[in-house]
Amino acid sequence: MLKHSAKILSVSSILLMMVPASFALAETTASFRYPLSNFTGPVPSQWAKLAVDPERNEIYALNQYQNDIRIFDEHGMEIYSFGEEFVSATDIAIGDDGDVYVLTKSHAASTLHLCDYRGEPTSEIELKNLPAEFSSFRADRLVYAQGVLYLVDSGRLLVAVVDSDGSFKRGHDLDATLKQLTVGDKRTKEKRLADISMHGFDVDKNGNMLFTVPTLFSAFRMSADGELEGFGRAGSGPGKFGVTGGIVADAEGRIYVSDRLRCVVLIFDENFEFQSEFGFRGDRPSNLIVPDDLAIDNNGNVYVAQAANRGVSVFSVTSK
Amino acid sequence: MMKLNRMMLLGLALVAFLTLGIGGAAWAFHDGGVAHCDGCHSMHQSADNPVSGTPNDTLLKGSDASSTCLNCHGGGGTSYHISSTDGSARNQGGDFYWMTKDYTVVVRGTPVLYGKDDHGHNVIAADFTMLVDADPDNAQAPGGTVYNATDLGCNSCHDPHGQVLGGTAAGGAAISGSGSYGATAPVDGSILGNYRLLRDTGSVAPGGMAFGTPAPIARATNVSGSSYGAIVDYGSGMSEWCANCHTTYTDGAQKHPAGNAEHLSAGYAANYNGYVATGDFTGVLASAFDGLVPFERGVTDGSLLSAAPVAGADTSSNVMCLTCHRAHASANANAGKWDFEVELLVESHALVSPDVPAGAAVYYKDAVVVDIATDYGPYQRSLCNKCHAKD
Repeated sequence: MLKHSAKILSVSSILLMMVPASFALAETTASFRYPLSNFTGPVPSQWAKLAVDPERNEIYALNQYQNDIRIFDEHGMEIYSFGEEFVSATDIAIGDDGDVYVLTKSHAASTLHLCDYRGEPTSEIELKNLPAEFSSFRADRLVYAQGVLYLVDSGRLLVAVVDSDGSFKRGHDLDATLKQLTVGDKRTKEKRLADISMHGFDVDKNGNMLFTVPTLFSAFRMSADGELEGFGRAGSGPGKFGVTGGIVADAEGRIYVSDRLRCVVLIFDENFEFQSEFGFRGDRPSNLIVPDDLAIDNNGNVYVAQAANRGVSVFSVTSK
Repeated sequence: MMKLNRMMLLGLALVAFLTLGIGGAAWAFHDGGVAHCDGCHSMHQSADNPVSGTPNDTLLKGSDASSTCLNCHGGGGTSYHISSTDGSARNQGGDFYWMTKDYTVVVRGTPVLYGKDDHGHNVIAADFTMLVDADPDNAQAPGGTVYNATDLGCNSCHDPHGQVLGGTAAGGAAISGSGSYGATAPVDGSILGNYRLLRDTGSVAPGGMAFGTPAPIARATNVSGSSYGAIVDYGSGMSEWCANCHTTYTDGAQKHPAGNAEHLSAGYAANYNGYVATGDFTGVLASAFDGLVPFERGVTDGSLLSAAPVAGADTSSNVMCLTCHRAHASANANAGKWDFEVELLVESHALVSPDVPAGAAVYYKDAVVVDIATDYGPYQRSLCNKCHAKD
């Protein structure tokens, strides 16, 4: 135990040194551009779920409260909306060919819907060949990347990777993995892991899964072959995590994590070194109120879904 | 076959290993008493988390107290989440989602609005679009004149600092654990926190109202792997505690009796124990407890309550507010655990309204959704009959 403590203290010190002492050290900066809008002004939404269509560089925002899905062009203007038939939609993803995937859930099951480019449902995709470990699987998050769909049961920390026809390709039991990796006495382990759930989830350009676990004040990156890395420290200062929310990576490998408690979006490089953060609680347009889901388009614009019906704010990120 | 390479995980997971070792955890964040300060407050507000507009003078990380709570407790399903986006939260207290959801039901050809403000406690959480209830009937806590809607928040009922007996400054001993889960009284001079961090005698809620009666006694039990305190065995004092604000609801004056002194008669206890469902009176004392219609057992020590209550009622038992109502909110009017306005529960307004999401948990107990037709029967009538057996 003493040996573990010594290791932990040592690495704690290193991590503390890695956190910039001030905002000025950051070379990456974010600038507020605009909120997603239509001709009547900013479109309100509450913790919308976001997805980017990379082919057309359009952003989709699913407003769970209103059961509507709105499509915005690369200038942030609404160009189309649909989704009234999806009463309990929990997430949305866009395929390479413009197909729209909508995930809905009920008490008993989740359903994956395929829609055409107009949002008209064309079929339900049945999940096939799920292993026994996934017998109670009920997805509530959805990501399309590298030609496959990632379905996530955030409460059980299960990830099922399926083809576009629903055939199971591989799975990940992140709950078991996290429990294997946790140290400490019985009470400590119970407190840390008895009731964890995943919040943010995304897949980067290399196929690594990114996810956050709010109750651990941490974010994680897991490669397709199972290598898991975690980062983050609890705290209220720059670079530290309060309640972690959404997570996404850009083309340069930078990782963005929203912090619902601190009301910021933190930017880390691909080695998990803190670069900068933006937003902050407040009522200015550039401020954020309980930021949650994140998305990034081909132009490097970062989309941030918020609470308080503040809709989705768009930021541009530059590095010097 | 799942492609889980766990040996590789163990070999290459140094960063995660250490992170989990030093990162701390939010589970048991309160641990029966006050948590670490910067979980809710920003010590140097303007430096690292500036607030524009109207700063809050308590340095809270939310726009108000309840918004701060919901930063963590917002969400659905089970666990410690009590405010979902689709009515899916299934904790004992209920889901504040229903305070944000109007729904309509067509009654005799006319759409009737079931307004969100009638489904529970209208807590103010600006970040979550929960604002002061404008209904003049709810300007003050019903049944009383001592608590204003403009002051209502999570911290009206829960003491975010978890103080017991006034806390250290008033001579209270150290809190060594939660009082929510049936722990036995410590023998080292420390004390347990209150059930659900509920405010204690003398505790002053926002707006200045001081609580005159102590926190109730109850024991919550987690459902394995999925829920915080989903099962509750109630001991005593709940109605008296609610009456801190709803002052006249326990005075017995033309109101349903509730409270520690209002023990069930032998006849009502027999009804409770025999009643299983409409048309089924085959229940027995040993297994008659129904989590949808709980009662207090007249017990004043939480450790004497059950982690898995199944036994029915006796003449020490009493009805309490939470026998019929959710503490936070529910899908039904008046925060009812069931719909008080329909004859057959399968016709409950929230079940038939097209506005209610498919994922909403209109009926549930022990964190599990209840299908009225399957679990009780298609002709199940009001659960008032659990005691009254008039069906």
